[in-house]
Order: sequence, then structure tokens, then C-alpha cells
Amino acid sequence: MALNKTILKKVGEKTKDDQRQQKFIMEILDAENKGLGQFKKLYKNRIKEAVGDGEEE
Amino acid sequence: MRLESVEISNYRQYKDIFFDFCTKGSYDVHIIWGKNGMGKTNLLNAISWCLYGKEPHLSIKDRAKKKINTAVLMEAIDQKRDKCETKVSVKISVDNKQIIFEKRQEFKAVRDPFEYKPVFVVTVIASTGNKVLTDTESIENLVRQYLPEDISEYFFFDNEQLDKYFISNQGEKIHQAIFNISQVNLLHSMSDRLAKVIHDYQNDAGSKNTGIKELNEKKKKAENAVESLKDNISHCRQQSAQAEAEITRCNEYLAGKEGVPEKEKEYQELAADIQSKERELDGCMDECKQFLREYKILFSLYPRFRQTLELINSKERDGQLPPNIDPQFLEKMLVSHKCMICDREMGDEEEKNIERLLKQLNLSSSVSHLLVKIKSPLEDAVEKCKMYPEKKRKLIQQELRITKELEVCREKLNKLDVYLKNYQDKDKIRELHEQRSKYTEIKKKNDENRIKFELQLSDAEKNLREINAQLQKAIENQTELKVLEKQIKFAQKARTTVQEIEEEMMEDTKSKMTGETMEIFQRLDWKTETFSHIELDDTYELELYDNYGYPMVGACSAAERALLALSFTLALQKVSGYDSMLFIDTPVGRVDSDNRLNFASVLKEVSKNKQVIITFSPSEYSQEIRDILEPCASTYKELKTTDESEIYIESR
Repeated sequence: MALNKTILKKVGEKTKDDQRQQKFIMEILDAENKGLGQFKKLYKNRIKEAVGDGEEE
Repeated sequence: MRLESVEISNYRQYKDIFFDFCTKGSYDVHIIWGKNGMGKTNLLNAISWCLYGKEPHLSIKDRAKKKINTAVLMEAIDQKRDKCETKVSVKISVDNKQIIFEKRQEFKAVRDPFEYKPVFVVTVIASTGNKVLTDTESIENLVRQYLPEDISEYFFFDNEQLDKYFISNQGEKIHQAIFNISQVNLLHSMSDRLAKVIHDYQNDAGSKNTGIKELNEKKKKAENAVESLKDNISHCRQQSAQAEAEITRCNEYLAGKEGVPEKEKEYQELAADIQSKERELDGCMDECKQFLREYKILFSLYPRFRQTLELINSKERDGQLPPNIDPQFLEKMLVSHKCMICDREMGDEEEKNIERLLKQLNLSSSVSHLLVKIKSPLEDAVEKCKMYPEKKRKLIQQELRITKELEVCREKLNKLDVYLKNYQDKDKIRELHEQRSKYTEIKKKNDENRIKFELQLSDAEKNLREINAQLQKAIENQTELKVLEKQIKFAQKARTTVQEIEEEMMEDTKSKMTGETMEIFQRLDWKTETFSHIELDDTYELELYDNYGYPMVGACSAAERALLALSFTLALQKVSGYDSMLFIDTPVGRVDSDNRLNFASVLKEVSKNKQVIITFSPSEYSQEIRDILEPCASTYKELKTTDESEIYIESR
């Protein structure tokens, strides 16, 4: 089923000043909704993508 | 999400039946009418079995039977077929695609049939192309995504469930329902998983605790050691070079003068040797003098020694002198009766001989005794006189040898003296010789030390290289550590956001749920003035209060509880925004005519935005319901049978 719109709205509100957080949470929620097996790999990859090589925000 | 169709083959009372739920008009409501035993509830069971492998709505009599249609099984046995098969296919439309869930199960064609493992296949029909899924994990994910089993009772439910909904201890179930339908479970799962990922990162960070400070200190020490060794080697080389220069200087000066110090040394040793030999010669001369004095006396007495000795010998030969034996010795032998010479017992004869000898000794004169006593010294003196020539010869030879050696030494000394007198710079030569020896020693020692330091340097440099490598790794680790710290911070921030949303969602949902449930319930129930409000407490136990503030769920009728459950379900779907169909099996069995009207009206209203499939038995499907629902129903199906062996659909 599609992600709950209220959740998506709240994520948008709470992360309006941090696009990387917003993108990360949305992607993970979408993946969680579709079902995950080995979650750690996906989570770590998404965090790595969001944080990059450690450069300052 | 809509249920498009259900196709059933050989499942329980169904042989081959196809339920089509296409929509017409603005109300997506579908009615299935059938007498008891026509398979209304088993339609729900067929869908549950297809999706979840379970049949939660079975009647007691059906629980003992196999899924395979009995007539089909008997036919297979009669026709001596090996197997027969049950098949249920559920087609839904969602997110601009159609998904067909198809489950098949074979049964051995015997009276008590063996069940083979079911086969579950899912086909996804989308504009981008079709996809067939056969692996369990993908299929389970798809089912979980669109029709999750743990909330299935909120879209597939029957009258029995409605009645039991709020009886007791349903708080956790309601909590889970809100949790899952509003998708707070996704937030919760994400929060838990983020915690695990953060824990992993923290473990990684702990293992990368670099110790760069300690390594830097070690590196500094290692560098100092290398530098110190290099200094030492340089110093040794310098010292060695200086010594070599000095040696060269000495060699240059000493060229052609190599033997001088040795000759000097030889000269000194020779001088000492001459002194020693002179002392030896003096001793030899003293010995000669002593020799001459001694033999002068001996030779002057020699004639008298010989005469006296001849006299003694003559008297001895004549037996005028006693034997030269100690009388006390003989007396001791007699006392001990033992021979003191051969250490054995003496016989009478031996003792008599000794007594006779003692008698002879006692009879001899003192002169005779004196003669016997001086005989030996006289013999010695005569013998010594005979040794004179030999002793004299030895003394002369000794004197000659020493004298000759002295002459040789003096001659050598003279030659050395002559040689050394040619060198006026003997002191300098000697000094340079000493210096050269000293510098040679210095050079040797420095070369040895240099080699030792070079070996130590090799080890120290290796150690430094290793420390540098460790330091490099530690610096890399520190870089990774910084990245990890950023990742932890990022994940923690995301987790906090998700947790906040989760809490807000639960609170919002809870609040909206109570209001919405109450609103729907008031529309369903004819007692518009009795109930005031609904509360969900901290444990999510639902309570309905009357106008006086008293809890009423326990006092509600079965019909009211069913209506309350339906209200709750509809509210939950509305509040959560969960897009699913609603399949209600025989919902109004216990509901009276007034409430049936309300019930039908509410469901008709709901069907504007949601597919509603309702099954009715003839007694439930009253005129009031018929009047409200039939004009707007998209499909109306009657389940019928001609000979009780096969069910078929008659649509209107």
C-alpha cells in the first residue's frame, strides 16, 4: 500500500531545513513499506550517501 | 485498492466459480446473497487461504474436512486418477497495477487424501510489463505490503469477529491495529533499525580508537633512536677518518725507520740479559771457590780415611767387629715374638738366634762400636773424593757457557748501539710508533662500533617504518572515525525525528479514532441520546460511555457491539488513510430493523470511496437493506445450487 500521507507530511515538516534527512527518511520508509530482508546494508548505504565522505555539512 | 475478482476451483463446496467485482456507478458496493451452507463464509476462507495459508472463518463441521471439494475427490478416485487439485486465485488492483495471487494445492486421490505442499505464484500486471514471482520472500513481501495478515481482520471480517471485538483485553490488538494500519509500525521499525545501525557504528568507532598520540610518541622515540644511531655512525666514521689520517702521518714519517723501536726494545732487553748473566757468572765463581776449599780439606785427609777404612774392613773380615745392628731393635722382636722385618711370628729357633746375636753385641768393646759407627761416613768421604774430576769439569763448563753467552750478548749490544746511534730522532720515532698503534686501535674500535651501529640503525629504521605504517593506518582510521561520527550523528537525528513522528502519529490517531468511531457509531445506532463519547485509554482498551459517564461496552447488546466494531474499523480505515476494500460476512444477523437501516446507509456512504463487499443470508437481507443497497450496488450475486453438489452464481 502507499505510504500514509500524514506520515509523509510530518516528515516533510520536521525535515524542511535538512533535505538530506528528508530524502533519507522518505527512502527508508518507502523501503520498509515494500519489505526489507537485510536492512543494515540498505540503511548504511543510504546513510553513507547522505553523509558523503565526512565533509562538513 | 480493490478486489477485482476471486476464482475458485475445487475448494470446499465450490467446484468452479468466478466472483467478479467490477464497479458501476458511484457506489462500489457488492452484494452476495446466499442461504446457509452456500459458501459465503468460505469465500472469505478461500481468500485467506490463498493469501495467508489460513482459514480463520471455518465452521466447526468444515474444520474436520480437507480443502478439496469432496465430489471432485470422489470423482478422481472413481476415475482412478492419482491426484486432484484445489486452486484459488485472487485478483486485486492497486497503485495502477493488477496483482493476481494464485495458490494451488494437490491432493492424493484417496478417501483420506494426502495433502501436497501448496504452490503460491503471484503475477504483477503493470503498464511497464508483467512479472511473475515464485520465491517465497518476494511473495510474502508483496502480501505484507498490500494485504498484511496482521490487520486482515480490519478488511476481511465476519459477524463472529464483530461480536467479540471489544469484549475483553483487546487493547493490545487495537493498539497493533492502529499501529499497523496507520503505518506507525514502519516508523517504529525504522527507529529500531536505526538504533541497531547506530550501535554498529559505535562498535566500529570503538574498534577504530586510533591511539595516534601514543603512536606519535613512539614515532618520535624511534626517530630519535635513528638520529642518534646516525650521529654515532657519523662520529665513528669521523674518528676513524681522523685516526686513519694520523696513521698515514705516522707511516709517512716512519717510512724506512720501521725497525727502530723494536731495535731499541731489543737493546734494552739485551742490556737486562747481560746484567742477569753477569750475576749468574758471579754465582758460578763463588761456587768454584767453595768447591776448591772443600776438596782441599778432603784431599788432605784422604790418606787417613783410606787407612782407617781398610782397618775397619780387615777387622770386619776377621770378625772382630760386631754386626751393625741396633740391640734395642732385637729386644723388641723378642718381646713381641714377631719379626719386625717380615712381620711374621717367630719360631723358637729364630728367637734363639736373636738371643745369641744380642749376646755377641753385649760382649763387643766401645772401640769396636765406634769403628763400626764411622765406617759409613768414611766411605762417603772417599767416594766424594772420587767425584772431584766430574764436579770440576761441570763447574768449568758452566763458567765457560756463561762467559761465552755474555760475549755474544755484548757483541749484539755493541752492534745495536752502533745501529741506534744512526737515529738521532729515536724518541720521535718511538712516539710516532706509539701514536700509530694508538690510532690503529682507535680506528679498529670505531670501525667495529660503526658496524654495530649500522646494524642497530637497520633495525631502528625498520621499526620506524613499521610505526609510520601504523600511524598512517591510524590516521586513516581517524578519518574513518570522523565519517563514522558524522554517520552516527545523522542516524541519531533521523531516529529522533522518526520517534517524534511516531509519538505524534499514535496520539493523533488515537484522538481522531475516538471522535470518528463515535460519529459513525451514532450514525449506525438508533439510540442517539444514550451514548456520549468513546475513549481509548493508555492500554488502548476501547470504552463507550453513556451520558452519565458510565462505561457501557459490557452492557451493550451483541448488535451494538457489532456496530461499534464496524464503526471502529471504518474509523480506523478513514483516519489512517489505509486504502483497502471492506469485506463483511453476514454483518447484521443480530441487528434489528432500525439499526439495519442505519447500517446499510453508512455502508452505502462508505462505498463512495471504498469498495464494500457484503454477504447476506436471506434472513439478514431485509427489505430495508434491499431498498437502500440494491439500487446502488455495482454487483449483486446469488449463490445457488440445483442438486446440492455444485454451487453457481446467478447475477443481477
